[in-house]
Formats: sequence, C-alpha cells, structure tokens
Amino acid sequence: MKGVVLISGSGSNLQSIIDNANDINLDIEAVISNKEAAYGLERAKKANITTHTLDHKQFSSREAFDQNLSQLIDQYNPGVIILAGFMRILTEEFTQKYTGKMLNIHPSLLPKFQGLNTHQRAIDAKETEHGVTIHFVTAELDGGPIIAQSQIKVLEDDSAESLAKRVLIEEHKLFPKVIHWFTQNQLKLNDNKVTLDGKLM
Amino acid sequence: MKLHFSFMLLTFVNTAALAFSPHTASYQLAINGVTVAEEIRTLHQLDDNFFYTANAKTTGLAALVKDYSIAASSTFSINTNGVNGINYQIMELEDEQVRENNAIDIYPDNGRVISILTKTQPKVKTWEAKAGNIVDPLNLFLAIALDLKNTPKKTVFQYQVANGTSIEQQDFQTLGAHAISIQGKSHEAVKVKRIDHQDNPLEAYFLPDYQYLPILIKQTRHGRKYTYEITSIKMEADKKL
Repeated sequence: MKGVVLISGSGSNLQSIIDNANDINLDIEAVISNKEAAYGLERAKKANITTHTLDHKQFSSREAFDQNLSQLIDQYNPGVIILAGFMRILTEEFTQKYTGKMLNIHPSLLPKFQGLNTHQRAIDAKETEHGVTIHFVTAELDGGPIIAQSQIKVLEDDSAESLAKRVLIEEHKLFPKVIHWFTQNQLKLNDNKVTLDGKLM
Repeated sequence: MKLHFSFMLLTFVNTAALAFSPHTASYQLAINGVTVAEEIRTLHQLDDNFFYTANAKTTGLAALVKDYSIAASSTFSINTNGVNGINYQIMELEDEQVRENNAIDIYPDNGRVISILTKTQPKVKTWEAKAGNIVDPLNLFLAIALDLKNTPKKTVFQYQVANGTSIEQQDFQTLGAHAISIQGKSHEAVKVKRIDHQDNPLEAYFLPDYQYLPILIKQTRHGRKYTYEITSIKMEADKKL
C-alpha cells in the first residue's frame, strides 16, 4: 500500500517504519515535514524517499496550510497517511477528507495527557503506568478512535527523559504492527468504530 | 500533616536571575471545611517557556463517593508585562471517563484565544481579547506572584483570564502583610483579594520567602466555601532562562 508520512522532528518513528516497510507492505511515497530542520528528512533521503518541507509559518491560516498540505499529499494518492510525530493540529476539513486512512501515534495512554509534554505530565500526575497510543485521526485533539495501546510501568526515579526512552521502544514496536494491519486491510474505521478482521476492537 | 519546606539549590545558579524556580507544591482542597481532594502543582522550565501542571484527585471520604480527577496544564512565557499564556488544557475525569476537556491556544500578540477541538468541545471558538498579556486559570496565581515580586508597591493587578469557555477581566487588590496559620505554623504572607467579583469572592495569600507562591486560597462559589491550603513545597533552581 502506498503511504505518505508526516513528521516534524527527528523521525525516530519514521526510521522504524522505513526499517520495517517491506515487512509491513508499505511503500513510502513521500515524507513531508512542516519544519525544514527536521532530521527525519535526512532519514528519508538516506532511504531514497522523496521529501518535502511545507513550513506552516509561511501560511496565513491553519486552513491555508492544510489546503496546501492536502494538495501535496494527494499527488501521491496514498492509501494511508501516517503522522509520525507531526506536531500540528489539523483542521476539521482536512481530517474529514482523510477519515479512516490517517493514523497517528501519541506518547501517552489516551485519553490521558493529550497534547505536549506527555511524559512530564504523567510523572507530575504520579501515574504508575504510561505508554503509547495509536489512533485514527479526527479533528479532536488526540481524540480519534483508539486502535492500540502499549503500556509500561513508571518507575520511582523516572525522569521525563528516561520515561520517554522506554515509551519510544514501545512506539517503535507498536506503530509498524498497526500500520501492517492497515496495509493488509485488516484494520478499518466504520461509523467511528475500529474493527480488526471485522471484529470491534 | 506537617507543613514541610525543603530547598534544593544548585550553588552555581544565580536564582535571582530566574523569574520562577521550577517547583512542586501540594495543596489540600476543602469544601466547607471538609478535605475532599489533593492537588499537586509542578512548574517546569522548557527552553524559553514555562510548563505548569496541576493534578487533583478526590481523597478520603470524597474518593469513596466519587473517583474524580482534574488534570490541567499551562504553557506560558514571561515578558516585561509578566506571565503570558500560550496554551492551556483542563480535563476532568470521572471513573476514568472524560467529563470535560477544554483546550485553548492563546495568541496575545493577535489578541485572540482559539479553542482546540476535543470530544467535549466539538466546535472551534475564537475569543477576542484586549491588547496585552493573557493568562489562564492555572497560571493566574503565578502571574500574581510574579507581579507581587516585581512590583511590590503596586496595589492593583489586572489580568485577562481565558479558561476555555470564556475570557474575562479579573482585577486583584493587595491588602498588605498578614500573619496566617497553616498546619499550625504561622507565616507572614501578602493578602490579595479579587475585586469586582462579589458573587464569587476570592482571596489568596502569597509567601514572599517562596517566590510569592500562593499558600492559601479561599473562594466562595454558589454558597460553598472552597479552601486551597498548601501542604508542602519543594523548590529547585535548575536551568536558566
């Protein structure tokens, strides 16, 4: 299945997807970043994947940015759009256009800790468990239907950095697995409900 | 519970240069004198911005009646006018289910506050603000603390407070030093009272020795008396702005 990956940063999840692309039947057509300095673009270039930078600061509104992003994505006619650390809130119009074919990874056990700084917030909240969530993207902030979660224990002496490192290991395992379900047409979103092999998740 | 203050100061950091030192403060919330929840507020410094979280959870008998928690977070910067909001989110959970989830992006330069879509906030709303800084309900007390610290002779402080459902003007008046007793120990604190909100009176006490952080907040809403009382504070000076 053809896919486009959106990033904003170092792209460690992108690397894990690139490394697993053959095994998960994913043909990464392009990597798009809203930040020119995103190291993920280098990772993509090393893997001979087409890259684009679309700087959100160049656009007067969220709508204008999303419209251009959509045009860029549509050139590749992807079956799946993967948000791998794409740090932009998308408009309702954009998310509706790609309903059921856009996946996001979020470093918390949603619905807890939407938005940024999730690891520090989990520590501040004295959570005993933390983790990662993969979900379909809707217009709501990290609020789309949950597909899968992986959890880890929060240790007494965890810092945001140490916790992030352990969650990242889970991210790198879980995201390719979920993408594979999708590329195999096992994973669907119907009426805002997630099904795997026809069964509700 | 004994009030316990501890300081962890790194000797090579000039704390006077910091607007705030990162810290963790614990509060007890009582309604009409009955303790119902505990709240922990933690301030972090992230590059040029500050990140402040509050996590409250029902405790004691109240926890038996209802498993209720609130998690709020605020990202803000500090400029010459004081605290200036960037993002605010508050989520209320009951039995692990989301009851309320309000999130906003704050653009003081454009005088706008824009909501972020959530399950309980299904439409994007925009609020127009006046020129100047905008704060949120979480960083409001840090804004007062900073103003008390930086302009101790000023007697009235004015804030535009955006809370995810509205934006309103809140004015506070300082009423000088007051000795107050917390957990059986006397403290010299600066009393501040909200003015022009007679239906929802609020007074707060700030501790000069601890960056003017609030140690006691009293509020009356719908005939109920809410009291936030500090139980511990741990401050650590780390990164410089």
